[in-house]
Amino acid sequence: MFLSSLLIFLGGLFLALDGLVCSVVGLRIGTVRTLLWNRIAGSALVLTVVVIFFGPMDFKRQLFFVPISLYGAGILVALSMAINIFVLPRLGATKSVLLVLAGDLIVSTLVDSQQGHIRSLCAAVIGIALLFAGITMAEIGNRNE
Amino acid sequence: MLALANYQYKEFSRYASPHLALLVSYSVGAAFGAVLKLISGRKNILLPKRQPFSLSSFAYLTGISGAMAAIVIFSPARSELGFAGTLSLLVLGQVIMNIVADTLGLLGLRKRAFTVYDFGQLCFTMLGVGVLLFFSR
Repeated sequence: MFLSSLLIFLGGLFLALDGLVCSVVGLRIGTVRTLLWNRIAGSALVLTVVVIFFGPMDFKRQLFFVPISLYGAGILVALSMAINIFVLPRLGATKSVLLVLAGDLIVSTLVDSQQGHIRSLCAAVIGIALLFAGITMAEIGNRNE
Repeated sequence: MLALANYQYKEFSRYASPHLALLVSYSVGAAFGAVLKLISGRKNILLPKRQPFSLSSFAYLTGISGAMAAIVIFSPARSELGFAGTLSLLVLGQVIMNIVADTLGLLGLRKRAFTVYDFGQLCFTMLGVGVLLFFSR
């Protein structure tokens, strides 16, 4: 569990860095172009990793059975990314990124509890409340500056 | 949107390998970005008036860290921690990165001293992550 936690924590660091770089680039070249470059560079890296570490896969055979509606995930992520690039410099990094993740966290906890992964809903609610307390703390700090 | 995308990604992974699902997600996103660019034409829609700095060409590699995050996040580690545990750790990573970026003034951001509010935010977030990971599951 420690290694898994460390990996996901590292993912959080990378994600924040991505958000920051995107917002800075978005200010200079615009939201749409930033989104496009972000997805192109990302695709190139993912393709490289897939080919190097997992070998050439039988793409056609695997993709043949996937329902067309599931391809929409990429559009949803791209849309939320575009909103993020646009909103982040205006609301501030901490506020926008954490509000997005906080909303996601509530939905995820509901999903976890529905799937029976949560042993104590009370502890989950306390955990989320503490995370929100952290976000509020950051907001108070920003206002006091 | 992200929660729905996450669900779709999970469903996609039932039909194809998770890494292929990630690759498709990025490729569809790139195609969607290209369509948006075509629609918006030469105009830089949503571009603010103020453009305060010049841009290094390395900035066009913006997607690299995001893709690295996605590869790590969608690894088998996620299933061990559950959705909520994964996201709470992501929040912690983001809080720390944002505080570091603000304190050091990374990427041309305005430098800001580390305050008691930052410390409080860090403590609350770590406590929240701890409770979600160790007591709720």
